[in-house]
Amino acid sequence: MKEDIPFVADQLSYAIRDAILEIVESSSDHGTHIGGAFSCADLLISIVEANYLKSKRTEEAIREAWPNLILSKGHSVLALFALNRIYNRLSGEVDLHKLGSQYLGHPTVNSTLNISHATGSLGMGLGIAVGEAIGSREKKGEDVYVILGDGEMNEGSVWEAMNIAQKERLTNLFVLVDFNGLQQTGSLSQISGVTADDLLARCQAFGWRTEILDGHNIPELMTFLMTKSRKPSIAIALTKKGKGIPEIENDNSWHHRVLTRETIKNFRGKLYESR
Amino acid sequence: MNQDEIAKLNKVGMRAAYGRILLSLAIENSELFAIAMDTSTSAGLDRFRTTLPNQYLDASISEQAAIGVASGLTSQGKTVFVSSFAPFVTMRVLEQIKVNVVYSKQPVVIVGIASGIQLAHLGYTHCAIEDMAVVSALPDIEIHSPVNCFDLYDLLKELSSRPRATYIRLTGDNNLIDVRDFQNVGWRQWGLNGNRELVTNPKERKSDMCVITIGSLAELIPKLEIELQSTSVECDYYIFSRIRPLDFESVKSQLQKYRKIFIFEEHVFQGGLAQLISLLCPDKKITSKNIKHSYEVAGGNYNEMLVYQGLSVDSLTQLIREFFEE
Repeated sequence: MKEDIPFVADQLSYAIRDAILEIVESSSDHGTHIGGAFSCADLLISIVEANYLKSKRTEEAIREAWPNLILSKGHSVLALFALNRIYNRLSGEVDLHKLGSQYLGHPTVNSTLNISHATGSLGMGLGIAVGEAIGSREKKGEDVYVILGDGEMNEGSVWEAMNIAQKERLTNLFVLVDFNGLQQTGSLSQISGVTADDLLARCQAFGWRTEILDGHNIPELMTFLMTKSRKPSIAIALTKKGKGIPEIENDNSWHHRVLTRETIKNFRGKLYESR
Repeated sequence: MNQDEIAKLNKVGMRAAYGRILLSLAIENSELFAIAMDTSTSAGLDRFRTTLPNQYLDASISEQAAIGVASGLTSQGKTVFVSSFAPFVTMRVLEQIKVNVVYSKQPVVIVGIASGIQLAHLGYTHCAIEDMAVVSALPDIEIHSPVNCFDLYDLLKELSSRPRATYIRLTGDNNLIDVRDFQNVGWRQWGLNGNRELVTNPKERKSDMCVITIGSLAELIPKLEIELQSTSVECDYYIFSRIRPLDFESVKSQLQKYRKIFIFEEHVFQGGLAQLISLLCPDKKITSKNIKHSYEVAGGNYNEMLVYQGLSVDSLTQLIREFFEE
């Protein structure tokens, strides 16, 4: 990350959403997971910014300031591509979904973007992150970050990894749950029977440092990510699916949808006006 | 480890030997990491656990997460060996192997202990008669079935210096055959795809039939040879210690001279060596003795189950003789 990028949360928040739409507009006529990409966009920015500030404070610079990040809810990959776009790590046209492309509907291994593992099959990212946190815990200042989906918390493998993390006291592991309250086919309460408070209690019971936060409040998220604990840390980040474009917010028909060029132009205009 | 030390390990069997060999390698390689799943004693890893605690993780009975953890560690530069009972590190976690290891290009080494029917008395939950088939459904992962602890040592040592996505199935009981016994009866290294397969052809017979096996059942070959020779059945014998990678052209070329091929293995036909050879050599007359494709009859100790499955010296001798006489 370049030192001259000003930390202006609202601008970054706007930029990443606009970049999501720009990437879709330029290159794909397939459906995309637009709603979840918008809900976790601010979580991604918070991780990059918090990690940047943490790395500046360590005496030994880590490889680069770019975070060691696993997007476990891989279907929100558009937000990850857009994140790289706004930090000048992804230039040119993205051949999204094209035959032979690295830029698909879920993350694939990509050294340019520091994507170490493919994700998209839910429930796998936290286990990977636990391994990375164990492998890097002796490296000063090298934290590992994960974004999980709220529906993804249904997966038993998540809780297997939660347990290993507490057992290993992985203080360098930070997890944000994108709690937008909507799964693919309905609300979290309908499908999973779980509330944010339920998840909080479960994570606490697993021995993690746990908080419920506003998932669109970047400074609040950064504070959480920059606070060290003697336990692994997890925040239930309350978000809105489709956040940023009022007409799609909390509308689950936008979980996965084809966006026409006209719609994208319309959305980009609305985003610009609401800056 | 020297040859005498490895020979001693043959007496305790490969699954106990695995942990001891890995410890010897880890002492020389601080990046080597072992993961168990509440199976440290089962895999001979208890001494590793106490000797090198910083290179060891008990991932608890969490197989899915353990494969993920292993792949996270390899992406941090560690050389990772992850082990549990064979069904639990193959079928139970197949999608984790696919996504976390193969698709993510992570060089994790997965070791399935007590594979085959060694634990028949515990039922088919604890047997792995189809693990090679399951793993071979995935691309870009090696599949090994070592013959004995010499084989296992060579393999682990090689993987510790050049790790790659690999599945190793450990079969057999204790008192495994000593490879030096093979040499005494004329076994020699077969220079096929990295010379990890063994072949006997001590008298350069002009037989038109060969017998092939894989893994620890190779211990039956010297006995079979004696039994078959006593009834004037002459054939060549081949032992494989892996099904992938294999140089298919080299295998086909080696087997070209035979009219009949008999294969036996501690695995179902589907996805095993017998099916592979059958596909490679469609013009040959091939028959095989595999584990039955059924979960109906379990129980007994290892030898009793081998007899039930027709994988005893007596059964195989009769089958091969009949096949020879056809």
